[in-house]
Amino acid sequence: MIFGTIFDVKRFALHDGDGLRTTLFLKGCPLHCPWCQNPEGISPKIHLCWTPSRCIHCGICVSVCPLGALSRKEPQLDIRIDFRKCDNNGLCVEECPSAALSFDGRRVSAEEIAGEILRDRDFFDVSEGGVTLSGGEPLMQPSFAAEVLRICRENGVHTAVETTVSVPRSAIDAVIDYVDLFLVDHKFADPESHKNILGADRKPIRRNLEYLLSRDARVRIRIALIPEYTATEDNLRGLGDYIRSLEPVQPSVELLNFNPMAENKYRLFGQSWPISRDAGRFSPEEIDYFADVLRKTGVERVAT
Amino acid sequence: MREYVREIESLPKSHRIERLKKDMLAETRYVSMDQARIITRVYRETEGEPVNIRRAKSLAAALREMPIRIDPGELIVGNRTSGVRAGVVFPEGGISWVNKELETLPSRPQDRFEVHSEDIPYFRNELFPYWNGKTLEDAVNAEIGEQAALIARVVKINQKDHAQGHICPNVEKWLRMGPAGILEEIRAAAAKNGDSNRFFEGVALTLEGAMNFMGRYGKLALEMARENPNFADELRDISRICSALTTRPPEHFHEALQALWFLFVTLHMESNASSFSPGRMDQYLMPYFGRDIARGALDFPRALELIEALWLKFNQIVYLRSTSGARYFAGFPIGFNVALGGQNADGSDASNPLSFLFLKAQEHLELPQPNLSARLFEHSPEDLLNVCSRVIGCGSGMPQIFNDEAVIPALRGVGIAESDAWNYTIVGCVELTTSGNSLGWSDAAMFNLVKALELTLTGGIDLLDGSKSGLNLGTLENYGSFEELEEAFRKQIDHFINLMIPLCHAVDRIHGEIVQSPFLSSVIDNCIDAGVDVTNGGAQYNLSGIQAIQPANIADSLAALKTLVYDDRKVEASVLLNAIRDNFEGQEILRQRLLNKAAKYGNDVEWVDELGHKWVRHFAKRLKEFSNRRGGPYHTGLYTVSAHVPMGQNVGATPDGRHARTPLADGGISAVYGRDNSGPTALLRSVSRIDSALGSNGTLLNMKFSPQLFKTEEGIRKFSAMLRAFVRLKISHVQFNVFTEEDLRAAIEQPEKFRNLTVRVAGYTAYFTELAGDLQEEIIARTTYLEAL
Repeated sequence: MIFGTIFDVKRFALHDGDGLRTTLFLKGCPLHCPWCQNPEGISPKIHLCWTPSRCIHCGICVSVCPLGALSRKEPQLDIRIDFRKCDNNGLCVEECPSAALSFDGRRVSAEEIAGEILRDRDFFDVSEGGVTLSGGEPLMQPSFAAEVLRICRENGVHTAVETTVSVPRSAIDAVIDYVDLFLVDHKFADPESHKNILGADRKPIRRNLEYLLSRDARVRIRIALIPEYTATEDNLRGLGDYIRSLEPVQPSVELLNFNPMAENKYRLFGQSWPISRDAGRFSPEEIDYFADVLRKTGVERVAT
Repeated sequence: MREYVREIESLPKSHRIERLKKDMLAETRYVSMDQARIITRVYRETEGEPVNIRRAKSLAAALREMPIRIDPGELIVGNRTSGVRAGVVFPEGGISWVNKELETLPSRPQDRFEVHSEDIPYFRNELFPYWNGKTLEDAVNAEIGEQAALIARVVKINQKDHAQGHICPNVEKWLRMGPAGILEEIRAAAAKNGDSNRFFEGVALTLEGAMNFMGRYGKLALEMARENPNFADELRDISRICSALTTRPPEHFHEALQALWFLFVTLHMESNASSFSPGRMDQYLMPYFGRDIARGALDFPRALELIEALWLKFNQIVYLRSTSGARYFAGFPIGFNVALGGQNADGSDASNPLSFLFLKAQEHLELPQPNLSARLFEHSPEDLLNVCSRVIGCGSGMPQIFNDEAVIPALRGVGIAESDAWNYTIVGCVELTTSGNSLGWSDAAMFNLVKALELTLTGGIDLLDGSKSGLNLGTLENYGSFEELEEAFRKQIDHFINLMIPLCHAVDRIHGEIVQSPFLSSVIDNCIDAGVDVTNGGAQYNLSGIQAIQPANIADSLAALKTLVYDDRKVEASVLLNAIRDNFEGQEILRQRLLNKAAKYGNDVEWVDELGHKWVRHFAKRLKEFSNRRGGPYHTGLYTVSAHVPMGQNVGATPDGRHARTPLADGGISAVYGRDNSGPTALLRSVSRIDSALGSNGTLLNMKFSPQLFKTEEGIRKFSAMLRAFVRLKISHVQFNVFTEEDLRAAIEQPEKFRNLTVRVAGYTAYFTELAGDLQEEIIARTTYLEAL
């Protein structure tokens, strides 16, 4: 049995590929995009987390922890977790009556989670939907990802992987035979920005993308429009120039609107959100404008 | 997309209809006693005559004498009162509640009506003294009042104070023969069979009355044509149509719509019942529509305007309920339920241009009536699904969706012939019926399974007032195993079923004695052949429906008991019993455990869903062992309308962590709000585990989506795909509310700006601003599936 670490399963996912889908979120990511929508997916490790809005401040967790990893901070009796002491034994999670304490991920076997995904086959069948592996970076756990995809594919379910391809070639080789569609995030044209902002070189990523195309994989490039970061004319023009040059088949491109809802998650994890507070979603006109910038560089298929 | 669908999709709104709609909504709603005066006079004149004759004569007199009105610009005319949306006082049903509540009608929390000052002394001095003791309500109370009160918290016996509605008459026959043709049929039947009980005489009186009523509108329209030069031509048209209908059946589309409306006005005047439904209008109107289109006498824009004119009419008859009745059925729904789409007898798709014109009319008007129901099945075309989805996305809560793949087999299971099952339609909110040949009696009673569970846990003691209300089979502390508890629950349910059935029987019989319905009998198949009134078993099908309430709370409560008390032994039975006795006072930690540490219905967890399914199955099976007074079967419904709020008020704290007196799960087979947090696919899979054959009387599932989903064509396609999966999962019914919480908060803050906002309350749609505050909050609290992030 192959186990992996996931942090969420979202059924009725509408934005991670075609049709109605179930998206499986795998933990761990080599990049550190400052606007990350799923910050709990960056670390490959599982952490205890505390949801203030669910807490009834009963203090049971503090008393059941044999390691003294939990304490209460006056005056609101907020729970503090000492991660140096916490060993993820789960006693507090089990005893917490209001589900305010939980783990931000779980270990599952590929068989088990594939079974969960297959529950919605009726919905996949009628919508030409399927499963999407996302994260984090799903290809950080290549054997687990491959096994989940293999089982789904074997059961007639369409498979997609949402990836930055910032992974060793072997990880791509592990899954490529089981993937119907690669949704590849590409964020920066400029190698400096790529390195400085995301914390990874651009070069291996582009090589992997070209490798996928050379293997006749179906690829859709996805560009998340982040105010002040990726959503600039220069950046989109640069990405367009690159995409236009790809062969043998120029991949299609999907622009993803900025989603300010992620701020809530940062608050939940006690972190601050790096995007300016008044940045909202782009209007349809602005999205059209960005799409036009790409089209003018010669990108043929741009979806918004 | 079919060519005609494209054309209909682009049809604009009509200025005329917009104006008529605005005027209609601006008119103050009054209580009307005009017809009560006529009925009372005729009853005084006919002492000693048989009831059916007195009923027939009083209806005929009302049809001849009620003040009538036509508003210039109307294309379809007629109403049962001269004011629109009037609350009709109907003495034969029952007026003791009116006696208690007359002065508070303008100020009560739900469904307010103004009262004309002269009506108050008339009511007190004449109407009430004459009828007191003679009404259906009085007779029911005298015979079963005490017994019904004893079991009232578990079983709510219905139909105690108004004539029976929730009926789909044979509109096709009415259009084919007209009242004159049916009158001939009556006379022939009387000549052949004799008329010893004067059944045919009564029916004939009402048909003559209906013809007179139509003729009066013909005359009024002609008079008005002289005084309204701007509308003279169309008033003369209306006059011609109304006059012609007195002697012959309709020939054209406009005539057919007008004839249909006269039928429904007359039915409401006879019975003042909740819900007469036109049924599959897109099917039986198609010949008239097709002929007119073919000969060039009609085009799509004109057809739509006529349909919308009728749609306005469906909003002009509302139903006056008592304060407590209005709590159960808030927003005065009257249930003109129109079904569209579905299939033909040979299993082919039945959708046609009228189906799409109906959807367009709904999109344009966004009014609570008609209650528009789309029938889907395996071979429903993509364009029908997409247009339904788009209209649902507009947010008026319609159309609601029915699934032939679930409903047809369910109806077959209660003895409906194949030749009738495929042609099923919907009455009231979500109740299933055949077309034109059934007295379905779909709301004989509501059975509160959750209260029965409470009494099982407490040894028969009511948690709310400590009274002894049920069987004492032990308490939660004594049951040694979960199975023992279940066995006691079974006995408790059976005990109340046994007490309930004779009471339903009695109510049914008293209807047959007091509110015989000769006019209705003329448009329900088999009544004329049998020479028997519809209330006395004349119809071809005679069912009685009883609602089992509410499987979600049962599943959640039993799952919490099983997991925490019996399997994991984390909670002491005595501690839990004391906690629900104290309504969880000082026991918030325990309550949180019950909420969070046991699986809940609606999340695709098989064993929990089965705990709900199992008790529905048991209930339905027991019910099937009984026959009703008219010789037909009892069967089960799984819907509450808005009754989950007042029924929840009857129930103490429950082991699923629910506080005493708070609402039960909404709808019928919906999850408890906020507890289905695995998304809509998981909810649908959970719901699909409850065999729809068990809910042959009708089931109700509420889902709520955020409007963003419908903003793009891709989103609409994905929603349609979900409907396709719903069909495949063989769930009978689903309906959707689409709006944001902010919309609703704004509507509460500034009701005047949101008068038009309609929401799906239960099996029907009501004006949000006209709902009582607690129900508004309740609607906001229902789970919303936000745009997937």
